[in-house]
Amino acid sequence: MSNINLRLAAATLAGVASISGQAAADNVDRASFAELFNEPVTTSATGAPQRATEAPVNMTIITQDDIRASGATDIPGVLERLANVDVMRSFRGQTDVSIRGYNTQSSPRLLVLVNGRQVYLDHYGMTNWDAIPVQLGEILQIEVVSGPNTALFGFNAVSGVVNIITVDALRDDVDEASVSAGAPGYTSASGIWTTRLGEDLGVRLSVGGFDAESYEGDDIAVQTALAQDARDPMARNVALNAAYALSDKTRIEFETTWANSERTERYGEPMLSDYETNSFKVGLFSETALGMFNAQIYSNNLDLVMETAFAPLTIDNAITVASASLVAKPAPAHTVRVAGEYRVNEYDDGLGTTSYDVHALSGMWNWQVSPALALTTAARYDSLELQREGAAPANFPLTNDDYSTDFNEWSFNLGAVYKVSEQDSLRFSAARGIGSPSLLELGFQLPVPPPAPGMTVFYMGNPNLAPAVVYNVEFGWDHDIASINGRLRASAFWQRSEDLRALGVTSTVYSFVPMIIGSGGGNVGESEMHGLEFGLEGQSGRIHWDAQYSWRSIEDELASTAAATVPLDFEATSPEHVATAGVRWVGERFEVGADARYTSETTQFGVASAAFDTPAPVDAYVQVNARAAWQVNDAASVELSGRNLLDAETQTIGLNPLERSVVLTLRTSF
Amino acid sequence: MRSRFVAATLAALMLASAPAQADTSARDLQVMARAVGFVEGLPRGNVTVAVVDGPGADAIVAAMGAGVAGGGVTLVPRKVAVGALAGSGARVIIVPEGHGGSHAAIAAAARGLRAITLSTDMACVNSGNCVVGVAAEPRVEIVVSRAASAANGIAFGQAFRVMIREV
Repeated sequence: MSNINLRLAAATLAGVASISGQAAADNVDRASFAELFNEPVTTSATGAPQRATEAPVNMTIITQDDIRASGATDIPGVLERLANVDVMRSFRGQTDVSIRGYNTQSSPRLLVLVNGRQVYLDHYGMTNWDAIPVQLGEILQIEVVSGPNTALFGFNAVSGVVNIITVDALRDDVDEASVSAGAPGYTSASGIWTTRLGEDLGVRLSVGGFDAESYEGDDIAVQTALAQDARDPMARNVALNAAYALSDKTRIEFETTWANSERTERYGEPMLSDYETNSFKVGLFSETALGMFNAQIYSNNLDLVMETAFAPLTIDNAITVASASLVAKPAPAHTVRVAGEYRVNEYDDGLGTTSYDVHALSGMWNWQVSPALALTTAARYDSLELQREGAAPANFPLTNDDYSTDFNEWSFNLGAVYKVSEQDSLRFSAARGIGSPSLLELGFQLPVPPPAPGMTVFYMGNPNLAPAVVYNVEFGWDHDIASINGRLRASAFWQRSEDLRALGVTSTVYSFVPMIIGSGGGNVGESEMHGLEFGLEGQSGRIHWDAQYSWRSIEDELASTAAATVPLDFEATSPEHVATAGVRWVGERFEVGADARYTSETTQFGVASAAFDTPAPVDAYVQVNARAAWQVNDAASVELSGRNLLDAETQTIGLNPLERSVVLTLRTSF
Repeated sequence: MRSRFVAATLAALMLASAPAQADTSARDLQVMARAVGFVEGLPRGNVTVAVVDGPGADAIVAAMGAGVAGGGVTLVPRKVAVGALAGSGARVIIVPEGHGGSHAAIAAAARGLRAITLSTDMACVNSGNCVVGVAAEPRVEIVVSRAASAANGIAFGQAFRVMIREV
């Protein structure tokens, strides 16, 4: 996976037909710069445009060619090609992704964005991957940062960042449609249309969706808890993007999206969920006398209905983010970035509204000390204020005043990149990242059936939760190997997470007469990790290959979370060893490839319908995927891909067994 | 002793990874064409480029053939002697390796033409006589002389400037 096979990646990016091909006002024309530098270009390391090999963080860029070669039908399947990424598929439809271990259901440690707009859902700090309104065919590249990057992106960029970059509505002419059908029980369709309205306005409409049958293990799990089958996963999403060049130095962008995702998921107990999201975004990019100015404002809205064993639960969450940044190069060797952000996050539970405001200021300084040495310093200050308005359930033990809390946190990223020779680069980074408690962790107020008459029990948030703090120190080495037309990458890192959180770990008696008990969240302790990562990739004629290995050694210092909604035992649940390998042959019209992934043994909670407080061993397993594609002519292609081919069913780190699947796709471009 | 060690270390850092000098290759010319595409105010499409006549010129013209495309421009070569540059009207000038003795004269002509000068000879860029230095192998390196670009009225997009090395 890229930073692999840079020439192929750059050629692929260049193949995205460019409409303008001019040095227009630049919100970073990644395709043109990739063609120029023969490698991908990113802004996800420091906020300033950089070549991937010069980023002072552990950066992997997955190109459109990598996406197609993976044969994956969703973004987590693409990410799973990276050995340091763990993909936890608990139900067909419930997928959680983490970088370097620490994965759980509804994982809050990974920040996921599309073109800089978060698609990570702030109500609980998780990502519904099926509800991300992006078609695989419109993705230019996926920028994956391993390790904290709160200093650039804000809260919850702690295990890493996934920034999905789409093709540009004005510069890139992408028109394609595809239909897929597969077993067990899978159909999907996708369409992307781009058009120019005059010289300066580009519009892209993308539509897609899928329907799938739940796996047998999913049905069993839900029958046990809810006396019915699992809800079959489905998704529909629409996105409209427009870009208008006001001048050769200024452009405005507009985006609106809608997505609907239904699925079964489990966080403690199984729930049948219906997510509906929509978003609006306006952005302004301008080259000014002071530098590159970016401003954007967007709002994300979530309506979530969850059928639980108790009663339907409705969550109405809205977040609005306004941000601005300026990137300038005041001297030949110095690039600086200053930025500010304001966000409002609101959760309406039907009786009242819990919300928080965040004010943030950040700065970045990159100093090219010499042709060989670059130093980067980035820092950010976030100030969060929580509040609640409105009514509460009868007998609720906290008042609105109890929610008037705040916290202020610094985050930083320090980096150095030293080019030892034309083939070798060394990288050092140190970071402090912040994981904020989610709105539900802070402000949830849910009456639940009491264990005995005369009692009132609430499942509730804790407004005094402290944010998690993650420290990461890392050394990296990149070595180009001309003889294999590829490179070796190696990293060694240490990471410490403090003030980790769990729901349902505290049980507080607020009143004896009447008996009022609250079950809430708490900060539960610390965890430390050491790790090594290796990657080797190359090309020989028409054969492309790669291999990666990730080792993580975790030690927890946690209070007991046996009573938690989801118990935490990262030492046991995070795989210590993960290895991936892939090979493909690329012909003129035909391409065939396969990849394998090994995950070492773990212990997981709630596996195969067991109660969530029941740990069970999960043996080491191997997943094998394969893909064959035939370019029928310049406009049409046929692709057959299979996933988890070794066995009919595989118990992975997810809750229920994954089934073998095969998908046939017909694709046309026009 | 300590100060000499520090100085020697700094010197090694400064010299490390400087691109090796070599004749201008087809790949170098491709990078030049793409870099020209990021210059503000230059015409698009077919652009006649003056290749300074003398050592290396014939090889460059042969490598460029009918033209080298990239970044919305196609550079079409024409050999021009140093003495004839000022009257050539060229907005893009390629300076082959081996013209060290003429760098100042080329720079003077380019200033009058408000032309962009490109070369794989980094000495031309470091001395402020050429605007852009290019090396395509083993990795693409682009170096821009701030003084030369300002003197010749050459402006690049800001994202381009952030990603290249300026001297």
